[in-house]
Amino acid sequence: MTQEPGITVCGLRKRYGRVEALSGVDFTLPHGGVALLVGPNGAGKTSLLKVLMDILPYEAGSVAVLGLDPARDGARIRAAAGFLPEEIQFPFGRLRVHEVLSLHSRYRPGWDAAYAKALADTLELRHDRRWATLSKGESRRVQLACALAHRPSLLLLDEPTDGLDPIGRERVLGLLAEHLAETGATTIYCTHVLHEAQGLADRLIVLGKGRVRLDEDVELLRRTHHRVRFSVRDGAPPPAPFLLREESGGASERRWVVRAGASEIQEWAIAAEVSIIEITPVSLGDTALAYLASSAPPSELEAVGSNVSSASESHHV
Amino acid sequence: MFPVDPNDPRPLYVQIADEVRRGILRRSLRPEDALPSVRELSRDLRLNPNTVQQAYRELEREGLVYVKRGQGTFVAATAAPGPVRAIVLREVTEQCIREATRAGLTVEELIEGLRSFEAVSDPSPTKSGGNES
Repeated sequence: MTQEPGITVCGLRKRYGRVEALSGVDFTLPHGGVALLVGPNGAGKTSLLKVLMDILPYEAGSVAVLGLDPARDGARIRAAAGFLPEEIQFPFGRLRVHEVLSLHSRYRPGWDAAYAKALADTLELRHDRRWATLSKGESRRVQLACALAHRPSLLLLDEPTDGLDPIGRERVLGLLAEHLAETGATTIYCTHVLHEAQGLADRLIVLGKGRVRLDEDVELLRRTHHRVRFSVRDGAPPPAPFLLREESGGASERRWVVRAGASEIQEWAIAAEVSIIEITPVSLGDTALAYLASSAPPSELEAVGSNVSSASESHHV
Repeated sequence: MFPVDPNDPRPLYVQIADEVRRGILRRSLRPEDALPSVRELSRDLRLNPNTVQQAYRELEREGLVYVKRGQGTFVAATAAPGPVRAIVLREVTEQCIREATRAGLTVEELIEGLRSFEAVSDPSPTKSGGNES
């Protein structure tokens, strides 16, 4: 499993005219890995997915998707992938849902008709409806069936639950989990809705201003990030180098998300003369939120990161 | 099925394993009962299948479940509530202590509280085996 290639991106640059959307993106997703890709609007998430699919060319760097270069083997990557773009541009509005599915089945090697039917049932597709008359959520569900029915070993999903109602969201997340169990697909899942997808991911990638600000294994994140609640007697607590986000900053009690091991927090608390109420783990969604909210430039994050990973190693032993 | 909570301090795979242990203790899971498949449980909990796999591996290491090739994961014949009791008790105790410490209570006060609670109400489990989730 570790031998097969997943996705490797090195120094990737992509610009639109004078605007640079991706300015040196580096990350590696192992085969079968499931990355939650988050970032503010305009961070470059959609551009990145389109480069991986060879829908957009790139100017510099190297990209390998399942061992293939999109610039050379774009067609093979697209055939292997289940791609769910953020925006749907489908020119055949008069086609009915069943015709849209059969259109996809014709150019997808490995299309599984029985699975397509099961997906259509679970997603409650109405086969006779014309594409142009579908609601946003309904067209999203049709697209999902089209993206999954050939059992792809690569999933590139841009806001897969966008426009769906709460029950629809649960179903889609369940379907994706099931798909992962059956195919072990290498997956990039882009979303602003961090909490609903957090259980699926084993890796978190945070993109900001065209660069990777964080790329880490979920288990490691869990060990190195904590939520600390503490009380302060008078005034503000002294600055802590590991602070990522102040979730609540009351006069007497504060709640921080920090990048630090428990012992490091304790040591700081003693020196800072604050009394800790509790130190608890942080959910992946809240960790992602802390990185999105923190306005520290990448260089500062890297500095904090390197210093904690050494601390956490000793903590772990 | 098994509830998991991303904000629970226990890792997700530990939560799943704990739920299975509790099921054995309550006797809602009995020897030779099938656990949900990795695929089913991943779907129902919307979890990465590796997380479920990790929980099942841990239970297998403890001898509480076994894998029948191609058929699934089953509760072991030797998985008696007795030995599981100690593990579950420890885990519940840890939760109680964590909650008490958070509230500013000492462990001694917690123990005292449990004793006086026992005096006014009967906390022993009912014969129905408790609620299944």
